[in-house]
Amino acid sequence: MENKQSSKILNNPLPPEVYVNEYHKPSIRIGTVFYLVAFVLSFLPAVTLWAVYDTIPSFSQIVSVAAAIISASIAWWIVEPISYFTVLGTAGTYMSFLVGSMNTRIPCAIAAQSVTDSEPGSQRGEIMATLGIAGSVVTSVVFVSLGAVCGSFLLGNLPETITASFQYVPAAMYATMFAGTIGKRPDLIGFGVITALLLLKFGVLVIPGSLLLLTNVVLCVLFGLFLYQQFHRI
Amino acid sequence: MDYLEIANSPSMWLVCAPIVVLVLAIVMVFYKKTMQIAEKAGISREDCRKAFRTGIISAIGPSVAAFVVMLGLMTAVGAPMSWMRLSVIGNANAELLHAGLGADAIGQTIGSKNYDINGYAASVWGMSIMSISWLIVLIFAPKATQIQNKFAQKDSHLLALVSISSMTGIMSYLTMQNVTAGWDMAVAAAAAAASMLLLGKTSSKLPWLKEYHLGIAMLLGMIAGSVTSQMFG
Repeated sequence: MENKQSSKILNNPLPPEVYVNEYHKPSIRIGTVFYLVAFVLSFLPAVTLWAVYDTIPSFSQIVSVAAAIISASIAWWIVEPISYFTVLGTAGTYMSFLVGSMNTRIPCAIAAQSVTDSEPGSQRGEIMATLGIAGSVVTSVVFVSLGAVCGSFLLGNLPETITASFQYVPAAMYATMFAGTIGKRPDLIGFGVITALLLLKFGVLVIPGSLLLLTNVVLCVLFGLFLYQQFHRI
Repeated sequence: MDYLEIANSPSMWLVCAPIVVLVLAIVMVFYKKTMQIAEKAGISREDCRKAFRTGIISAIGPSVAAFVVMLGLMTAVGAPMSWMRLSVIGNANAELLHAGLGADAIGQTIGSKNYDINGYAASVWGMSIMSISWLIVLIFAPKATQIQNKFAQKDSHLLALVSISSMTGIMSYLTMQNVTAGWDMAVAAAAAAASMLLLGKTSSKLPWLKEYHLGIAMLLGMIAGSVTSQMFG
């Protein structure tokens, strides 16, 4: 069993240099260009309000808004990419953080891997996760656009029991992925559940909220490395 | 003039559109690049398409859920800004918070009577400033890729191990966070997980259904959660 698994992982179809030069490096170039353009474009509405309607907050007001938002969010901005990078891959990271809602990207990346029987951390795994994320972004943009054009009309006509049921989407979504992983590594999942519960119950008293998820990820990785070193479990 | 007239004006639609187009463009470029490398690696087109379709289908549930929260944002800052902001970074609650922080800085409150075009402009700035987070990804992603590839060269087992361990760390934490949030949440999670496991049993007989597993399991979880809250809430 272990041999079969390990040969599958080692059996990356492309030599690492080729994969890095022909996939990772171009992905970084593409991502960088798109991010810089997106950054400029995202201020277009604010600048338009200034240029066309002559309304703009004073410089000091903008600075104070920026300070409030950055101080409230900077911990997340740093923690999230670190926590999710190995799951999303390079191209997947660029797409996911441009579009946001990790709640959607992560499950779709993992679902795409499992539907195609691909190992996370392999070249095939990264390729499938990236395609899954790409598909999920298309759906997100379609729904957001539909929402913008006819959202108020559609929502006004939905019964309340249906709109209320959407609050269960995150719980159900994570649980399905949880169920998908449990068969692969019950030992790691079991450990993760225990540390997660301890963190949510006691860790929350001493660790800042933004670091709880990362702490759980780090603990699981350390435990995984420990099992690998001691028992060569992969 | 009511600020919403400006917020929903054609010119606002026009300046909010380019970034949505950009998002679709980055998907197209990465899709093409990924298909190229997949072909070179000898991975079948059928598998690639399957992964892409799975992403499309699995994202429907959460996208519809985001729809519901979107309405609150739309009534506050108009449709075009909501469209743009939820196409990037995409979290209606966070956007509403940032719009609120913006308005607050000039002494106004979103949704209140005194909220006018100046408050709206401040909200737009507040939401746009969020884009600074991209600069962190810009610095981080190349470094992380480099480190990951060094790891992979040393021992390819290690990379697989770190991936699966991080995944279990994320999964277990987020699941427990939701499960401990209330009985209805716990029931929704348990029903979804059980459905996923049961659906997994059918995959040898009904392989085509695999792409829909996540969507079906989530729907059953939502129903179970709603029924629980109706019965006991």
